[in-house]
Amino acid sequence: MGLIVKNLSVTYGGEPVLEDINFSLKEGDFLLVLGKNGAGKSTLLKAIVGEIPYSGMIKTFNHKIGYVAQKIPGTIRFPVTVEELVLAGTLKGKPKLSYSKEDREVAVEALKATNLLNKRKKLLGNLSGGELRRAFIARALAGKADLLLLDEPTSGLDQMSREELYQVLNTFFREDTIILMVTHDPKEIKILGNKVLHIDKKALYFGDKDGYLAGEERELGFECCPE
Amino acid sequence: MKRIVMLVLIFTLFALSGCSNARTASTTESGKPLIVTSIYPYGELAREIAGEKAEVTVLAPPGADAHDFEPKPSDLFTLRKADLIILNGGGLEPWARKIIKLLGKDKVIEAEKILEGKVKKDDPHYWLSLIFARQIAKAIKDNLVTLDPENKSYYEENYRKLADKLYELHLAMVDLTSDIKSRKIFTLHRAFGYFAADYGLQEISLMSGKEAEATIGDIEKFMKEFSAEDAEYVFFDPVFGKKVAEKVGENYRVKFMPLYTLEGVDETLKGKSYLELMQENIETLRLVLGGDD
Repeated sequence: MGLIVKNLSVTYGGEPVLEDINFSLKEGDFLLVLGKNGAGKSTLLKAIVGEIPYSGMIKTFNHKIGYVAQKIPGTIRFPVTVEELVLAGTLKGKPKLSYSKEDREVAVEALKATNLLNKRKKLLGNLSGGELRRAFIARALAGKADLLLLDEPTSGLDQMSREELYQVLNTFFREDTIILMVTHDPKEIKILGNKVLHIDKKALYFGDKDGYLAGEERELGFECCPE
Repeated sequence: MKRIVMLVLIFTLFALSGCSNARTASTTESGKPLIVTSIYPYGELAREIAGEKAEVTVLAPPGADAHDFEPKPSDLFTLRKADLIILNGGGLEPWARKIIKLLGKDKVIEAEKILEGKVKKDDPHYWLSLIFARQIAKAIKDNLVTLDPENKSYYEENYRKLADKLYELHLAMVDLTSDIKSRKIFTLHRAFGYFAADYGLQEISLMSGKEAEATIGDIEKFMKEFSAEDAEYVFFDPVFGKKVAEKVGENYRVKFMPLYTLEGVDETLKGKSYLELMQENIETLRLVLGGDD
């Protein structure tokens, strides 16, 4: 239950990247992680996934983590279809010779939720940026992830792809799910999320989005939400 | 004999009811949906969500042990009226399957099924994990909403409050276990395995499962481990564990502290909620583990 980050610090090459970050989230929280370039936003997600070493405590309890990194190269070169990627989400770490009927049903649901059903036979390399990100979210959905970490999922997407992605996230967002999303787009604060963590190596603000929008962001020098 | 009486009763029930299989949610006198749970903790979770919009009945009477409780013949009438039945599973209600099938009930929640893949076959104490409790509470809420959609927002609000309280207790446990010396807790009756695992603790028990009486040899082995760990306290359930605690206390110098398994409550605890008893457990652990800052 929940996600707890306590006294989290990360150093890289002797330099501090994150310093003493503390926050906790519960099911139903959708956290927007804000901050300028190099503030440690992606590092925070990588620490939660366990990709990098850190000091302090991170507890994800019995959550199943779905992580969509900012850069998704590598896999694209392989001849993998959208459907194959999403089906792989059902593996839960164990290889299988074939997928069960249930696995396929789960994958179809995930493809539907991400609006990719008609693209399921496409190779990953032939997808647009937005479709590719949705495909990775679909994989997390198929794996029944309930702690979703998204690193700037809308960067480089056109307006329509963004809106499609917002819709997918709102579908994913349930009372037993936690989402952490890194964003650099102030407009997204209005559209998504209910909590904000603003960092610049250290945490500058953590709390309800409403409180953040009520004025604290100005003092923190983060210009939000131009009308 | 008991079984024959029960079967006769079931058939009588069918004769009286004409095997009607009505699924409308208005079987109590008050017209509110009726939730029936086998054991106390689920009754408590259900009550928190149901509030005043649904009625909750727990079959196990005060003082009954969850492990060997069997329903009385009159309980069959209660089950017959139930709109939603909540069971633990994991071998605690061997009587349930047949009866529920005969009664034609389809609205049954079984904690074991909700937690599929996360629980062990030989440990049915799911309710002591705050994490599991939240998941079970959610299933109760979802079912109640389907049953009585008119009060959807009421149940959802109650569920949200309950989930928040469970989360607060959970945070308190994380806090008190984040910086402690010993991660072992010694209990007389094994029940806290899931709860302990949630916080990186390890439960060492004198007795496991349904074993009624510990032998002198069991106690010796248990106390050896207890001494080796330089532990100070043994936890016992004040409702069910007094006799065993006395037996251990006769031969060993050991301090006892109460830790409720919530397998059942007696008259002294009746009226205390699941949340209150879990809170008391956490306060006790705070004293013993010395996680206070």
